[in-house]
Amino acid sequence: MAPERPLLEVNDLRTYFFTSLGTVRAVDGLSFSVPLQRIVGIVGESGCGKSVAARSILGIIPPPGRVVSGSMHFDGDQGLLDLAALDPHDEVYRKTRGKEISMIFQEPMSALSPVHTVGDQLVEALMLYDEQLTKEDARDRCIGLLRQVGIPSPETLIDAYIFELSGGMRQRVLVAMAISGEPKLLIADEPTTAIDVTIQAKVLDLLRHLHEEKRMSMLFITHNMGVIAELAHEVIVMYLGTVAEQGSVNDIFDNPQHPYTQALLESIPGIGVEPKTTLQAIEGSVPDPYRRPPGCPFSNRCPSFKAGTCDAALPPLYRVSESQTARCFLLEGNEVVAEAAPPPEVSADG
Amino acid sequence: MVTYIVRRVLLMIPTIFLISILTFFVIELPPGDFASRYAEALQAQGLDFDDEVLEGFRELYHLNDPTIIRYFKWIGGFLTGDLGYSIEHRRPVAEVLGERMVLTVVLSLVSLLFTWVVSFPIGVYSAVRQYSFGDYFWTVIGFLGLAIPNFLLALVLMFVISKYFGGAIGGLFSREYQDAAWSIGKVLDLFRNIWIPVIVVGTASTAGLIRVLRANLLDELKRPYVELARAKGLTERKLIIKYPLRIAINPFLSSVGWVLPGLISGAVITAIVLDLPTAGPLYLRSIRAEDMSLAGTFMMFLAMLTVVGTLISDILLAIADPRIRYD
Ligand SMILES: Nc1ncnc2c1ncn2[C@@H]1O[C@H](COP(=O)(O)OP(=O)(O)O)[C@@H](O)[C@H]1O
Ligand SMILES: [Mg+2]
Repeated sequence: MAPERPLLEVNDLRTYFFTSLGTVRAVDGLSFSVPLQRIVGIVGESGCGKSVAARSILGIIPPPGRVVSGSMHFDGDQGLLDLAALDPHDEVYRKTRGKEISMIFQEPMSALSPVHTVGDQLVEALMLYDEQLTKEDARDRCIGLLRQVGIPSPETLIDAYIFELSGGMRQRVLVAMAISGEPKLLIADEPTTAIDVTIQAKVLDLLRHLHEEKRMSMLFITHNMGVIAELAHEVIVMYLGTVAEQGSVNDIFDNPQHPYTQALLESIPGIGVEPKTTLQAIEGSVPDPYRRPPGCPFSNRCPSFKAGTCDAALPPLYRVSESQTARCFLLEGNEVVAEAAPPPEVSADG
Repeated sequence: MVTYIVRRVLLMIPTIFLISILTFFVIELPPGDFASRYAEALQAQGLDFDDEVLEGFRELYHLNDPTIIRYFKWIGGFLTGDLGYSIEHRRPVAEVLGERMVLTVVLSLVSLLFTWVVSFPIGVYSAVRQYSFGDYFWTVIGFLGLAIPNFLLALVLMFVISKYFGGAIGGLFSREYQDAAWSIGKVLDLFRNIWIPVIVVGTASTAGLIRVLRANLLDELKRPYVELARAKGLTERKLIIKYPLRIAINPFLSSVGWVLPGLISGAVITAIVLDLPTAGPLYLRSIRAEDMSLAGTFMMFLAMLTVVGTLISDILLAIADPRIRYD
């Protein structure tokens, strides 16, 4: 069987913010791919660049940020596109956005307009993606969508305002919106972080169910290893804008190589040797984005730190197995998949 | 929505009632009663009065009635259009006010329109293109507009126009229409002359609204719902108009609230400098002359316009923002 072309192939993506305090290298040399019909999980602590990566794919990085280099090949309705080479305002890019690649945002409380009804915001999306659709048909379809995501009595809820809905219901509306264009790729950026724990599982069930039904690819972003174990087929462990380790869900959970991955796993209650809370599991916190440690970005927190090696250079990506790679000098001697590329010289207006 | 409006209208009644009591109290404040003040005014002009006439006068105007009764007579007159008698002008108040109120309303509404039409596009532009040359340019102009006192702007405009364009200025009409009866020509003449006072009266509030709209829109543009609208694939223009602008527009709706009372109390100095036949200078004079029927009428109008203006802007806000009407 010839290897299929992945739906999305991100290569050495770099997205920087040129702030008055300096350059924030939020995503810095990120490479991964999302195969057709698979769920890829991106996991990492808060601030490691997950949301910026997601927004880079959609082309909605706010100024002063910008995708400065790399490629994002997307195999969509309009042929193979390198999204990184397109101007975010380009019509081709805009037509991909929402319809072919959609996103569920982290904050269901504020991600919907407070002064428009649920139906207004959904019908607008439906009519954008299908220009032949009449208003009445769009409304019918909207009710169908709301029912599909498990909203009770969608006929009345369609005319409700956001502030009349609970957090869980709002997140379902966001899910309905995200699937309204029958997207090929659904990006979910911490879709359950901001909602009540008791409803989190239901929303995850809904997403899994929708994936099985529609066979769309998913990029699932979370800081929670437990959620990854439940949902993802493949896992990308991200640290400070780049991939620390990558592999199938079995690789990552059964045979983690990177000390950061191991630390993340220990932070899940019940899986590590002794249950620890998330905060205690990893010493310190993600470094200040303006002052990264030299060498490996994890070196200042790493339990296996080797002076002279880890703080000297960024480690290359080593192969662990057919499906698994990791960026750590502990694997020195293994096949090098990709040398660590130095960051490009860029300026704010380059 | 209907219950919201009804509730707001019902709330207005006690408010206006309280204000009317306060106003009546102020009218009664100056020493002596209406009759003695009227006599004083006439005596100052060399006319003489004997006490009997004065007493007859008091009978005629029920000035000997208890305060409560007089209050209800006064407020009742208000409801039927009898606003009292102006000592200074020696004409009924309603007559003194008539034309001036019409002109004041015209000037204020045109100024409001000017303020909206100018500040809206500039405010939106400055927010969407934050820190661009245009944004800086309008920021400078806006702060100048806020900082320059209206009367100074009026003087400068008058100077520039009389020096470079010739012709007399001031007032709302050319000389030939000054005392003419209303006609199409007079209306056209009004709109030929009105723009100087409109610029003078409107500049500061235009500058203010630009700043408010810019700040509000910048706030809203950062909100997650704007990002979601962008992620949906809407064009930038469509999404800005539909989402953040819809919320950032609130100060425009609120401006209706303060424009109505401003009809009378606003722009007094400008009106004096430009010699405008509007209500402001008349109000000022009536207070200085202790012409209490006229001053009291102004006060009541001011209060009512404030209450009605607030009501209108609240209703507009409730239409624009469902969170308000669902409270
Ligand atoms: N608009 C912005 N301006 C400047 N820095 C930003 C901006 N958005 C994100 N960043 C920086 O990018 C880094 C990654 O952020 P983010 O992708 O939101 O992390 P997370 O993994 O928690 O989603 C952080 O250091 C954050 O400070
Ligand atoms: Mg995030």
